[in-house]
Amino acid sequence: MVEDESLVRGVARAMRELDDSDEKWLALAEGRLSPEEREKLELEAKESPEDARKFEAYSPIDEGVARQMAASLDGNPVRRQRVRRWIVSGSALAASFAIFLGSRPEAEDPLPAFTASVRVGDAVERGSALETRGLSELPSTRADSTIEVLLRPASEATRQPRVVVWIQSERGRFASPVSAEVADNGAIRLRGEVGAIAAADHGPVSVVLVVASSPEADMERIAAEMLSLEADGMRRSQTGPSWQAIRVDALIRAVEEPR
Amino acid sequence: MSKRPQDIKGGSHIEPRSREELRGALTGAPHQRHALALTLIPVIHGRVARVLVRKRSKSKGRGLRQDIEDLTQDVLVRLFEDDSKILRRWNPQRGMSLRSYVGLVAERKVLGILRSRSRSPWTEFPEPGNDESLINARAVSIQGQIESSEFLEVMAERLTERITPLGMRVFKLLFVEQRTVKEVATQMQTTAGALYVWRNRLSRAVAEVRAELEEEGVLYGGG
Repeated sequence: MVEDESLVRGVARAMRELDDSDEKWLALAEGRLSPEEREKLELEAKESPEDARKFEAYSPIDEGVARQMAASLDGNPVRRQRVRRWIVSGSALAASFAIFLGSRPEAEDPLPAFTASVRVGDAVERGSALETRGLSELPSTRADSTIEVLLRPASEATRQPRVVVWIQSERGRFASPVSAEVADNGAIRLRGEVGAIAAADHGPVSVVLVVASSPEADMERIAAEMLSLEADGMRRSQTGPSWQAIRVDALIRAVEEPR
Repeated sequence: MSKRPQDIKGGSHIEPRSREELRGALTGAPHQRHALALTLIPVIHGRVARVLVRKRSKSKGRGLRQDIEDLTQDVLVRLFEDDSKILRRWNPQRGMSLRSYVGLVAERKVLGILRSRSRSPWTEFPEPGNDESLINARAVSIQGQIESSEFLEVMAERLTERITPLGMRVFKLLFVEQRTVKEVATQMQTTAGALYVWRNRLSRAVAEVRAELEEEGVLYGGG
């Protein structure tokens, strides 16, 4: 059919154009550019935001990071130090950042490294320092807003991790009535309404996820220690020999009664 | 013009030229496997970056770098898992270097990862069908589709994901580079008859991808 042939030619043309326009960028990623060619590309990137974005995306992976990736093929957890990143999407706060640098190699049941992605309700936040934020600066949210904590393993988990979710609120410290889900590949997700997860309708709340590969890990104690840390200037994540933990704080706004 | 990575990096990278060399690298000492991985990581990185840059061309306020590294790692692991089953499928007699083969596989894998929720649970990457530009695309006729670079790019992407690296190699040689059947047969060490079969198969795949996109409501054929 003529139309089909035209479509095949059109798709081929699109591929050709994409190949042509991407070639120099692929060469950059693969380290095939001469220093002069690379310099030229860098200069072009300074002139155009789109090229700047591409330059960042295609710049060769750091040799040390590449070596860690290669080592991960032997089952060694990745110890990449990543830059924390923030996503602001619509009216939701979405904070993604690397919290775990992997378990210690001497652990009998090492966990893979995880990347955490945290989205909290309807608060809007831009790149501020979550780790140094005081109580008055906590993300403000409603009880019926959604919170999602997503932990993605950098490599497939060798065994399914155990997860507990603990809460600190004005009511005290207790296990959340909402459980986290664990996917086949070891990804972990806690998702639900803030009020349901924290069993609270107002006030400051802290949510701690503890992930462990070893049945020996005292997860309740780890959660308690994480929850007892001061909110101001604390570390948001901690790593032990066979466990990892993350804490997320939020302030639930009381809903005003209609007048 | 361009240097090869192994020229730049010295002896820590290896690039097998034959299946035997590949087997040697895969089954040899760990440092050989690492050296092979170090050769392939830049290739995978380039293809992952290519896909993500394209997909996120309209996203704002967000760096791609971390996602690119995460997906590069993910694809690398997939290449080496199951006793490196995917890598072992490479056949240099088809006229493709290992790097070219891995490039095609990587692009296909990353598109698959981004599209498949089951393989990427709770992923934060947007589904292609949710891409703003596609949802907002107006209904176009077949002629409009052929003239729409956006539509053709989506078609190219889906086709990359759908057909095997070997099929993609044939598609590129026959349709993208517009080489003759005779030339391709020589390069791929196959027969003209086999290539005609491929040609029909690939044309059918293009038609199927178009139908698939229309069915998904990504773009519309009527009008």
